[in-house]
Amino acid sequence: MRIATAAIYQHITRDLQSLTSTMQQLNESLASGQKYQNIYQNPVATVTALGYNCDLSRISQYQSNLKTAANWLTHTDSVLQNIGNLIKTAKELASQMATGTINDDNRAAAVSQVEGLMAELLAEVNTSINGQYLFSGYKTDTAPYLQLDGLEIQKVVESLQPGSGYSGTATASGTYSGETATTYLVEIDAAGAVGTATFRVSEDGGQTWTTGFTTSPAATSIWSSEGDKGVEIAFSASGNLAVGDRFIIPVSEFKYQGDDHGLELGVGKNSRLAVNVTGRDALDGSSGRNDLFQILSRLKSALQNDDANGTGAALEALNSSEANLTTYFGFVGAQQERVIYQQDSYQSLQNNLDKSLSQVEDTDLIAATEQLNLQQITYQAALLVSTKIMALSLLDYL
Amino acid sequence: MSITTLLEIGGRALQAEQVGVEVTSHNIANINTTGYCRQHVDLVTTPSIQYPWGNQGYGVAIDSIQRYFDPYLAQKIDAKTAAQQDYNTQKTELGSIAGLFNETNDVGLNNLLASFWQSWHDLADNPTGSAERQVVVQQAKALAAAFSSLADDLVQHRQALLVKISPTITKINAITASIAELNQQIVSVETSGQPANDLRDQRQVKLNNLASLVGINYFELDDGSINVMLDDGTTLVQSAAAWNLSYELSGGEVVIKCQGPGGVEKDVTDDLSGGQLRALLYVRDDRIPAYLDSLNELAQELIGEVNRQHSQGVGLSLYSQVTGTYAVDDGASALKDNAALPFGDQITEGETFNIYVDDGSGTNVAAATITITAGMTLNGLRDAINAELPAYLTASVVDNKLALQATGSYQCGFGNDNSNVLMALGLNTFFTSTSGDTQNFAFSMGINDIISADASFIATGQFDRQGQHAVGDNSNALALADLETARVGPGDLTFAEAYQDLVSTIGLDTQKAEQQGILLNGILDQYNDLRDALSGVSLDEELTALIKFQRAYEAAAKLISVADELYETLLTLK
Repeated sequence: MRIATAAIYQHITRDLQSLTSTMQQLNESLASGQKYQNIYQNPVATVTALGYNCDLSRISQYQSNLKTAANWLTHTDSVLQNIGNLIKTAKELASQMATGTINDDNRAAAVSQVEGLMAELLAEVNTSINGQYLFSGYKTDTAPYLQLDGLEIQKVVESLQPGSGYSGTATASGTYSGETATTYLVEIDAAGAVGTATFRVSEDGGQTWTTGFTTSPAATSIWSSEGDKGVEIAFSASGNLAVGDRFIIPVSEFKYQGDDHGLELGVGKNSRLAVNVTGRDALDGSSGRNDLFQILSRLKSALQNDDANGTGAALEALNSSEANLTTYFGFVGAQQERVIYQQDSYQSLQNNLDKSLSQVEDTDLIAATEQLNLQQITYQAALLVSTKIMALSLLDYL
Repeated sequence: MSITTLLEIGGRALQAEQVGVEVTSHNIANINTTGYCRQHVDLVTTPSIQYPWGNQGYGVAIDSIQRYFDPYLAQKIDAKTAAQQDYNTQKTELGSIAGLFNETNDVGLNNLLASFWQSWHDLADNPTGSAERQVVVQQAKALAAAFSSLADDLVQHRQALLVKISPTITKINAITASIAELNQQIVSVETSGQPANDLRDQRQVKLNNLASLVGINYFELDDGSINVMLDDGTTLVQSAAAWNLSYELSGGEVVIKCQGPGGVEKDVTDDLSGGQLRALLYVRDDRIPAYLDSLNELAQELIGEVNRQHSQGVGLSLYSQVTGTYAVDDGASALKDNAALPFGDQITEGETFNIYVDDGSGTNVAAATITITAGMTLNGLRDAINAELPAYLTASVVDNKLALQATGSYQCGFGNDNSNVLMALGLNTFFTSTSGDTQNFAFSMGINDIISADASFIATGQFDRQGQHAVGDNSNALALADLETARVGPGDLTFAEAYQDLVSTIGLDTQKAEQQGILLNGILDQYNDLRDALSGVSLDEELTALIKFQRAYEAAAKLISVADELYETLLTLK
């Protein structure tokens, strides 16, 4: 083929430029450590890297949430443990008092010991971390339990059956004439609207029942086998009550001020982790039985009145309260294990993602350096050949 | 048969070889001239003279000076040049747009989106924390600023392209005018019957320049002039006449018109193919609007979804007075699909939302369920609210926006909105955007003034059935954080995926243009090599030719001196 003189120079320029541009790219990717400097050099890899970056930031957020969760759970766990120890001490005391021959001095000492336990329990359940109360549900700004001056009829705790159509509220009222803290358990035994539905009442957590009450929008006196102590309940009319709907009326000198929401944190895609236990649940206040404060307060009055039966009953109640606490222990323990498991799995996921990201995004230093060396040699060879060709001319021989 | 014949043969030979030397030197002189085609002189024998002993040669004559030129190859080069310039210009323009979306740095939208969701998670971990609340506001502001600066940059880029289109058209018009002029010159020169080699070279260069700006077709007429058309057949140059292109803006888009013969205007915008002009139009009026649409759609969905969830919740503070951020066009026209409400289409009639009233110290005193009836207007909604809670608050319509003013120390909050009317009216919402203009979500994205003034209004919790709300409630913040992985963005993707989709579209568009450009560069290089092989000047060849003609000239001069000697011999006869 005929070669024009200008074409020779064009070829030399073009080839040298192509070599320099390759070297320039290698140089940039080596200097920056990143394979691609622009999204259009490899859009697929760039977008994959963006996806990995999103996943990584999400995972690091989940890990940070898990740390917060672990913090809550550790504190909750230690408070529950202290409450457990407290129940054990109370049990020992109750069993000593129930058996053995004891005199008034012993009893007086025991009474003040129970008072001490109650104060300790109040302090434990009112534990706060960074100004947030652990046992108040969502009301983290409010202490879960408040000690009142004497026994008071507390707000009704509702526990409706799933699918119950009742949407009104039940209100407790009256003036309590009894002497010991107790819990009235009101359970619907015939379904219907307010005015039709009937209920029964128990004062011992559902072991014995007094029947024959009808729901009403007006305050209705309720009593149990122990007689009428002035507690009343009124149902606002709205929807139908179902059999098994329960309304719990605690009479206690300790008032629960939190709510019934478990605090949850997000620890994965659509995955929530409960990180606390409400005070009412931990102290067994939502089952219809007496809660731990009431049990201790009953133990105290049993001791004051030298009521051996009462002391025995308190011992039994302490056992069931301890069993309840154990359930929540188990719950918290299980959550803590879940935290550890999740942390581990996120850690390995993070490692894998880091590796994948680096494969997509980072320059392979060894390969790039080798390539650069190769390019340099090629470039030098091209320069050498070019100068030789350029030097040739027929003019030199004329 | 005379000595004179010999002298004449010698003289013509001298002349012919001298022309040969001159043509060769013309070639050498133009070795680096763009578009120059090497020329050669065509020598022929002079008609012979008949003698009784035969036809005797009468020497050499110059027939013509021709150039080495392949019109078919030139057409192919011009066509490929148009395509190559199209893609290379696209690559340049798209590449600088791609730079706006260069996510290899840390402040890209992708990272800002991730940080925004992270801040919601942190807030859910500690809903009472004022630092966490401030971080949410700051991250949201950074995100909104990134959206609006991206949208702004894209619009600026579109403007800048207009500035490039105008000179391109001026250049096209200048080139077509000079082609017409060259046509005229070539026709007049070639009436002599000899080709106008250098003028033709110049015209070919102009044609190639024109092809790099806009795709063309052309053909040569018998008189030597060339007619040039756009690819759709619209004539730009006809013999000595040229017609101009012009542009105007119509609905924000550039329209290219050809001022044809007889003052007839023709819109050729969509018929352009190849060349820088088409690339500029394509990037300006096709690609950038598409990117802008995607970005706007993403911003719209983000604003909508965050506001929808946020309006369900309640923060640490309740409202003493609150005004919606979105205005309707007329208080008496229906809310659903209201033309001025950007999220008016989201309203579901027949559904309800709740207003809760608090005594100012955390105790619920009243609640109302408001139903959005079919065809309800803003005035109707105002009246419905006023009918439900006359003792606690007053609803009014201010500047076509809904405003609630609580009475005395009462405060109000919202929840359970199944009708989406709160989000549509901008009540208890998080993000804001321009009312009435649905195309500007990305550009106008901002934070609700109430929240940026007091972060305690960020709705982390929700009202419960009794109208109570607790400070530690993080349920709404968690629901907001969950939007990160929810497939509620454009095209049923997550917001991050939708953005990545946009980035990959821009990247792939640019990459495609770049790769096509490289491919065409290669093809063009090859064609140019072929052209040079035929038309390019080779120094070795020309130097050889120079010596060839020089020697022939010397020989011709020798003929003259032989003739001279013959005369002398003759004259000395006595």
